Amino acid sequence: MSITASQKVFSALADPTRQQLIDWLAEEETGTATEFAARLPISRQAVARHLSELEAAGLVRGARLGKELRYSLDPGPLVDAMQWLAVRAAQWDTKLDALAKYLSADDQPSEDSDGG
Amino acid sequence: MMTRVDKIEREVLVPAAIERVWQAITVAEELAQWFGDIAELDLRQGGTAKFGWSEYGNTVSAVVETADPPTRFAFRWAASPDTEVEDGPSTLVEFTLESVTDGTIVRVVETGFASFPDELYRRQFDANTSGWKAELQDLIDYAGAGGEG
Repeated sequence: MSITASQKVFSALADPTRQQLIDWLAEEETGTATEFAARLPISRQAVARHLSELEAAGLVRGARLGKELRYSLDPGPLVDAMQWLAVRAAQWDTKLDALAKYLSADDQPSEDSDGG
Repeated sequence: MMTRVDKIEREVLVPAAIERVWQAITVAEELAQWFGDIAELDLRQGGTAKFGWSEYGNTVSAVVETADPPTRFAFRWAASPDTEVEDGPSTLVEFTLESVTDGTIVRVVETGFASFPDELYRRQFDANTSGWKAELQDLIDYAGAGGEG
């Protein structure tokens, strides 16, 4: 399996503005810095910078349409990153399960109960 | 809205009183029953901890960040085994306990993955998919079989 979930991906996603941009791109398929800047309290230049960081992490792709760069989502690295976290999250599920079972064993000392 | 990607949030309802759950997550001997099979823990802010899985012969170091009984316990642990917390990337693990009618809700939030270098993600992914799952299954079996039997 190819794991490209990288520091770049997580760092790119750790910023709330960039998360918001990813959310919008997921919902609306494409967008430009100008369009997004109209909905954010930051300048078009700042939005453009965030978009190019997302592009550097491989999360979005920009295509030039006339004067503007129109961005769309590239879900590949995102899926890898999610997968990595899902494995880690599953470990916590397993541990918390073990905790619950360990403590419920307090109540039913030596019973092989599987009801509940 | 998408959830934050460098954060894991999990919770479970444990059928025990909050004080009992607090013990299980903050007393070394109890942690050794469900979390790893070796545990050391100095329960105070800045206190050190170690979690170990003897089958793999390594331990993970941690430093306590919050110990606020019986609701909040947090530690920062090293991303790589056999490495001190301050010597490399680490994540913050925060336990929050909430008393409800059926027992206690235990919430775990782990954050800080953005600081990992690429090579560490790869190594951890490999380790996770092989070793840990089997090891943790043993713990579930043990705990499910009635604890100290």
